[in-house]
Amino acid sequence: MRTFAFLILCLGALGGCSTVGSSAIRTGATVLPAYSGEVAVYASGQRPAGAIDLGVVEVHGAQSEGTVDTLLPLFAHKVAQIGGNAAMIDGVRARYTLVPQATMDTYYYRCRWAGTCASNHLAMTSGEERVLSMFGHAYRLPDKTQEGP
Amino acid sequence: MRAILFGLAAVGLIACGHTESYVALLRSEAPSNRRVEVYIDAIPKRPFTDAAILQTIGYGNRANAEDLVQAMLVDAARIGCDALVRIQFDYGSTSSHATGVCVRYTAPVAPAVAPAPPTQVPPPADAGVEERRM
Repeated sequence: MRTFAFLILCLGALGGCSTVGSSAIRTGATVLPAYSGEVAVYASGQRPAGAIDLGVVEVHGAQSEGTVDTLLPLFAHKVAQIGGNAAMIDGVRARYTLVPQATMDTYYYRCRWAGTCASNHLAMTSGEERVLSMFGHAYRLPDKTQEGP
Repeated sequence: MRAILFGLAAVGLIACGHTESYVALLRSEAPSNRRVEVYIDAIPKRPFTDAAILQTIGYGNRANAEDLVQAMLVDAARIGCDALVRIQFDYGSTSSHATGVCVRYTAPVAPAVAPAPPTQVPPPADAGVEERRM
């Protein structure tokens, strides 16, 4: 029971700390149920012929989670979620922002009784954060053309 | 002497930089020794298929577009790509970032089509008539 609770806590902590976010918005008149097969990925701007545009998809992650190998599977998953079997990536862009960071500095000094004493103080600095965003469209291809470009 | 060595080491540390690369494969790898072409504002004229999405982050003195492209070319050759297309750069204050799509050609270059001769426009019916000014 305790192990199970610990696992739940760990999962909750991991979930809470993740910087990965995603969205899939259906657009247009075609509404399809979620797709369960493989999703073809088009990344070089070649729009598949005969494809029906189902909506827009965006996924993002910051710092170590902001990598293409992390975000691409999630992008394909979001495409499938709104019924797409082809993911068209319109762009992969990084955005840099300065974020305030609190760092704990330890410093040492000579004190009267114990020789050398140590103390901490909180220092506010700013660090640069990189957020990677992958955005594009979800398409539905006829079954024959499910292979990638 | 020791101070000079420390100074040189400090300069060396400051001047250092590195790149990180990430690859999202869309096709299996097929390494080759082909020269990888680079397309930033255009796409190749040959038909191609997407092989991978590449991402490179440069830090320190390697946070520049030239080093980012060089790092991507190494990955592209390892994957067996013919060209890197849709390369996009984003710059921060301490690092730079580039993504691109690694493609493989699926057909040879199409034969060049000779340009059509310029169309002869017939002169207007009143050509040769002197303009009269009132």
